[in-house]
Amino acid sequence: MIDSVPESLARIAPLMILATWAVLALLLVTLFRRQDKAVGYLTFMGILLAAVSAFRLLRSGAAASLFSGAVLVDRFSLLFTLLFLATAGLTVLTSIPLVEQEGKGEYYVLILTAAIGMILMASSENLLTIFLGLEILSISLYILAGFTRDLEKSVEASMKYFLLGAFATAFILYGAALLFGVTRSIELRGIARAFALPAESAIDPRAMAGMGLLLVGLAFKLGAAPFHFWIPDVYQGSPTPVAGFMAAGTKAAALATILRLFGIAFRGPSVEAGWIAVLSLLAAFTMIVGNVVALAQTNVKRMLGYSSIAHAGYLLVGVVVTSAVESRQAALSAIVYYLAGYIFMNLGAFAVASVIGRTSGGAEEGYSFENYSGLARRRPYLAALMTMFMLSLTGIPPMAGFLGKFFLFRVAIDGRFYFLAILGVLNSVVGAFYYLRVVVHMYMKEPAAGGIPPGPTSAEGISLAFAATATLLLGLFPGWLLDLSRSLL
Amino acid sequence: LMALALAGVAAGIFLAHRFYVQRPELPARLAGRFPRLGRLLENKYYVDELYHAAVVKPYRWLCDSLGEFDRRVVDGLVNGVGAFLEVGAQILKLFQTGHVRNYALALFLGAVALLWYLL
Repeated sequence: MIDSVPESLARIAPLMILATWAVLALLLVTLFRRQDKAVGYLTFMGILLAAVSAFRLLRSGAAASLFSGAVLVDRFSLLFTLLFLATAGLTVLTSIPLVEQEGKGEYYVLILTAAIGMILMASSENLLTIFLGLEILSISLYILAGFTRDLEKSVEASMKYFLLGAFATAFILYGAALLFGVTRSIELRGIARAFALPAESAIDPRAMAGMGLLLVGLAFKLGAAPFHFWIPDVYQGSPTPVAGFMAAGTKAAALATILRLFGIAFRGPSVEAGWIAVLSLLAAFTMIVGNVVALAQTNVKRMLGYSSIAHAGYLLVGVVVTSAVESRQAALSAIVYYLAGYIFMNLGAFAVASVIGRTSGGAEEGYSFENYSGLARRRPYLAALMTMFMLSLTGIPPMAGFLGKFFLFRVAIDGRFYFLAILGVLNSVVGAFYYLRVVVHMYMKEPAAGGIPPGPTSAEGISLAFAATATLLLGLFPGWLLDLSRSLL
Repeated sequence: LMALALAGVAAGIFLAHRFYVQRPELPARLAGRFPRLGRLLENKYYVDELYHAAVVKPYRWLCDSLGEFDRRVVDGLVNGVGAFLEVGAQILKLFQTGHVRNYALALFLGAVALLWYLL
C-alpha cells in the first residue's frame, strides 16, 4: 500500500497522461477548428507517451495498491494497459481520414476517455472502480458508435448499443449490490471470503446470484452468446475504426475484469464447480454461434463482428482453464498472447475494411464481399495485407493467430478440458471458410464495375504497417511476450 | 538335395534336347495322346488366369467399392457437414432480427438460465 499522493500519481502515470491529453485535445479542438488532423497526431503522441510510461512501470516491477485500495497497479494491469494503448493508438491513426471528413475532433477525446475506462477496469480489485471504468468506457463508446450522425445506421447502432448496454449494466450493478450485501465488501479479496468455503458446504445463494449477474453483464461486454446479439448490428452501423476499437478493446477490458473476478473473488472448491460448468457452456456456445452465423454474413463488418464473438469463445476456453491451479499461469500467458495477436490482426482487418469502405462514402455496399472482388489486381498491397490478417484470424502459421490458438488449446488439453479443446479446433476449421471467402473474392473474382478504390492515407498506412508487422513478429517471436506474461495475478 | 536338383536339371535338358532337336514331332504327338496335360502346359498351368481371378479381380472390386465409398460417404460427409453448417447458419441468421426488444429478451433469458443453473 502506497499512501503518499505524489508517489501514487506516479504509479498511475499512464492514466494521468491520457486524462491530461484528453482535456488538452478538447481545448485544442475548441480553440482551433478544422485542425483535426494535427489533433489526431497529437493524440497519438499522447498515447505513445502513456505507453512508454506504462512500459517503464512494467519494467520496474512491484505491484502497488493505491488510493486506499481503489486502484491496483500490477504486472497484470500494466500488460493490459499496453494492449489497450496499442488498440487506441492504432484506432486513432485509422480514424484520421474519418474525423477530417466529419470535422469533429472531439472524436479523439472520446477515444482517450474510452482508453482510460479500459485501463481502470483492468487496474482494480475494487468493484466500484471496475464499475466506474466500465461506465467511462461504455459512455464514450455509445457516443463513438453514433459518430457519423448523418448515417441512419450509425445512429441506430448508437441507440441499440446504449439501450442494451444500459440493460447489461443494470445486471452488473445488481450483482455487485448482492455481493456487497452478503460480504459487506466491495473489494474482491473481501468478497472472496463468501466463496472460500470447504467443498460440499453451501454458499450463500445471494452470493451465487451476485456472481451470476456480474457474469451476465461482463459476458454482454465480451460478446459471449447468448448475450452477443448487439455486436453485429452495432459494428455494422458504427464508423469502421470504432467497430475495430470495440472489437479489440472492449473485449480485452471485459476479459481482464472476468479474469480478476474469477481469479481472485470467486475461488473455492464448490463455487468453482459451478462456474467451470457455466463458463464451459458459455465458451462452447459462443464458439459455435459465432463461427456458424459468420458463415451466412454478406457484409464484411458483420462477418468480423461474428468473428469477434467466435474469438471471445476461444478466450473463454482460456478462462475456464485458469480454474485449475497447476495450469493457471500457463492459461493466463496463453490468454494474454492470444489477445495481443487478436488485437493486431483484428485492428488490421478493420483498417482495411475502413479504407475499402470509403469507396461508397460509408454506405452499405462498401462493405459487401462483392466490393472486394478483384481487389488483388487493383490494390495488390492492400489485398496482400488483408490476406495476411484473414489467414492470421483463421489461425495459419507463421502469423500470431496460429500460435495464439495453439497455446490456448494446449493449455486446455493440459488442464484436461479435452472437449473444449476439440470443439475449439473444429470451430477454427469452420472459421477458415468465411475468412478465406474474403481472400477468394480478392484474388479469384473479376473486379466489379467502377473505379479503382482509393488507397490508404499515410496515417492509415502507418497503422496497417504496424498491425501487419506486429501480427507477423508476434507469430515469429512469441517468447518475449510469454516471458512478460509469466506469473500474473 | 543338390544331387536331386542336378538330376532334375539334367533330365530337363535331356528331354528338351530330345523333344526339340532330335524328334521335333514328339511334342505334338504327346499332346495328342494326353490332350488335357497338353492344354494345361500350353496355358502355363493357368497361372495368369488364377492370378487374375484370385488377386486382380478382388483388388479391382475393392478399388471400385472404395472409390464409391469415397464418392458417396466421405464426400457426402464432408459436403454434408458443410451443408449442415450452412443450414444452421441460415436458421441462426433468423435470430438477428434487428429489434432491440428481441435482443434484450435473449439477454434476459440467458441470465435466467444461468442463474437457474447456479442456484
